[in-house]
Amino acid sequence: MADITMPKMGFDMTEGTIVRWLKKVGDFVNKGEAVAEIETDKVTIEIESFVSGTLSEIISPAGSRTPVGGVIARTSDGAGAAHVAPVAVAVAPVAAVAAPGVVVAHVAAPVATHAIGDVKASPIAKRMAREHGLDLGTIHGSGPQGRIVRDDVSAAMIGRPAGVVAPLATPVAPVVAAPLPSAAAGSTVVPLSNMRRTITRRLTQSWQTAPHFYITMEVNMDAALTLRKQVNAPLSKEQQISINDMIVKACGLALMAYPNLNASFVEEGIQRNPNVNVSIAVALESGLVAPVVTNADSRSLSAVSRESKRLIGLARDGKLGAENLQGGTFTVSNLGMYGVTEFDAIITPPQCAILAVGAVRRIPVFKGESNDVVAANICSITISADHRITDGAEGAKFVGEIKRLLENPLSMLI
Amino acid sequence: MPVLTVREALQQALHEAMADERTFIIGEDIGHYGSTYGVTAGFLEKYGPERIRDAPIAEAGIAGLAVGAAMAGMRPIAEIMSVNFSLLAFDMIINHAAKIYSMFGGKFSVPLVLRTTNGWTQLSATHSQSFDSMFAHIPGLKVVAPATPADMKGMFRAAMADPDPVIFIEHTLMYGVKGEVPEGDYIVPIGKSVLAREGRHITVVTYSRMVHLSLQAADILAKEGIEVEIVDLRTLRPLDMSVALESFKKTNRAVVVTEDWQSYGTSAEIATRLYEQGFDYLDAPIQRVNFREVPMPYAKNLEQQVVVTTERIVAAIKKVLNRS
Repeated sequence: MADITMPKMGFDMTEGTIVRWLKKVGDFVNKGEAVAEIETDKVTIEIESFVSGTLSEIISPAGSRTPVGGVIARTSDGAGAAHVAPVAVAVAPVAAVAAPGVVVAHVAAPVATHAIGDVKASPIAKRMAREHGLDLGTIHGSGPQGRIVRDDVSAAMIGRPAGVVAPLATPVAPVVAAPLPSAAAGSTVVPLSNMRRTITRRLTQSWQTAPHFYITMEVNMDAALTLRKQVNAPLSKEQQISINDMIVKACGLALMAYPNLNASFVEEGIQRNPNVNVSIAVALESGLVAPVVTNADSRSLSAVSRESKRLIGLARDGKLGAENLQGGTFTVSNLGMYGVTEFDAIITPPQCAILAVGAVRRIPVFKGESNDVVAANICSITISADHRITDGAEGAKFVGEIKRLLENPLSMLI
Repeated sequence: MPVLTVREALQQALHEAMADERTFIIGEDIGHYGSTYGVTAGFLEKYGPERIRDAPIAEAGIAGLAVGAAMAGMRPIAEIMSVNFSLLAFDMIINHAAKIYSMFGGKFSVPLVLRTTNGWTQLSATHSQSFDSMFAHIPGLKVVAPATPADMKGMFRAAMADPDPVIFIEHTLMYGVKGEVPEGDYIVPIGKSVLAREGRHITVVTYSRMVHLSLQAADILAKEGIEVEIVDLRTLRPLDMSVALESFKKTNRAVVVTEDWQSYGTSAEIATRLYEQGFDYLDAPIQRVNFREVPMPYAKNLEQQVVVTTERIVAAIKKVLNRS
């Protein structure tokens, strides 16, 4: 008689759901044979028995959740304690597996995640890859005997090679086994870069798990532009404060006033983050990075500007380190320079919200009671926020606070 | 701040200690001869033969007498001229000095400071050893091995103030090392390590004379753009790894440099602590630089092959950084 227990499939896994049993009570299970499919927060996996014996009792039926280490089934005739081991990792998203009436081909994705033993990597490299959901099998190792070291993972996080050798791109296994639409002759497939892969994974996760809602407001930027002109007059070209710097600073202050917007949704509840760290989305030829301006609430406007310039410079030179990319609690994405009027952005997990900033446009507006038509500099700002954490009214107040700060910019200087 | 040699700093600390009437110094050649390394020169004339006791060549007697005196309320300083001779005193040090407090239910403590020296320079196999790990292995002892004149003086004060037996390890090749020594009654506590140099690429964990060689290695590597951070442990027991771990969490790579044999030596303990407590930060196997594992040869050219050199430290750092 041996117990089959819920395995721990990741350092942060606390419980798992039985998707389905592959064996029924009375079936004989050979050592190494898959007995059930389980689902964690991240993956769906088959688990195999470490002993041979007859499946005598199923304790956790399909659909039930069991804490790690909890007994899910028992076998008889088996010798010794039973353990289970994962045999395949399917990257099928949770929603697809659970969708009723849909037969999902059980995809044993050809080793999407390499077994630890297959890849030589330093402990810190393994930890960083795990924390950032990177597949070590796709990262080139620059250490002795091809060992993946810290700098290789840092490089993969921002999509550039650490050494002289480019990361080895491995083809991505299709998640769904359905045939692809027949490709036109001559079509080519560009393998995903590590940066592209990271964007794919994280934003898909965001889109599938965080219910987004959007709030747009128009901000009159006349006062901000005037102030900027005054402040910049004595400054050298390198020291000039940008509109984006003012927006980052305004967000920092508004986030301090609305801590829910500076929070993360975690299993236990809403985790309010102690610091206000604003990520700034920077477009690169190879994709997108979002270095973090830490403590955007307490830094002065000029300090925000300096830090922002430094980070953008590092990003353009491909020199951002992991430390520049971690810890963001909110993101500002500005497409104003492309003439975009307004747009909706996707939240960067595990943040609660992102602000999408459009171009400053000079448009006619009605002014005062006489309804005079005057020219004004108007900018549309839109937040995307996670409805699990906050609601429309609070979101509106938050955007209103950003608007108030930008329309009364002196309040950001004191 | 005045610049002193290690010898001068120790002399000052010993004179200060002699201000306590409970303190006496016992050792071989410390009185009439003024000690082999000149540290107690002039002490006999100043304090007289009652308190500056020239001992016969009988290390067990020196240590045993000092243990007994410490139990009886005195504050003895015992000098074992070379750590190689301490082997004859091991029973007194390990079975008595280290155990009495525990075995007598805390009724007796042994406030003894035992000074001794590591070192080599064609002294051959029996006079060129280091037993740092053997002392540091023993619960009940405190073991310090400072590297700078300021730490020598400050840690000697801490050793004299300590209620337990302290093995105070000096180095024959360091008495002439100069450094700034603060004035006043500062104390360098036992069991607190310190950064000897800041850097961001690799951590060197070391102590005693190897701090100075590591600093030279860091100067050489700085020219190649490699920034070496150096941690001076200063105390071997109790071992404070906090500074080293903090540094390691930043650099993710480490070299441990100690002037003893590698197998079961102090570097084994230091590297293990880094592995145990810093595993998730490890980016490359830790390298150790130590004596080569042979009895020390007398011939100068062979001796140079065995001892730790700046070149060997540089090579180990480059190996860990995967640079050639």
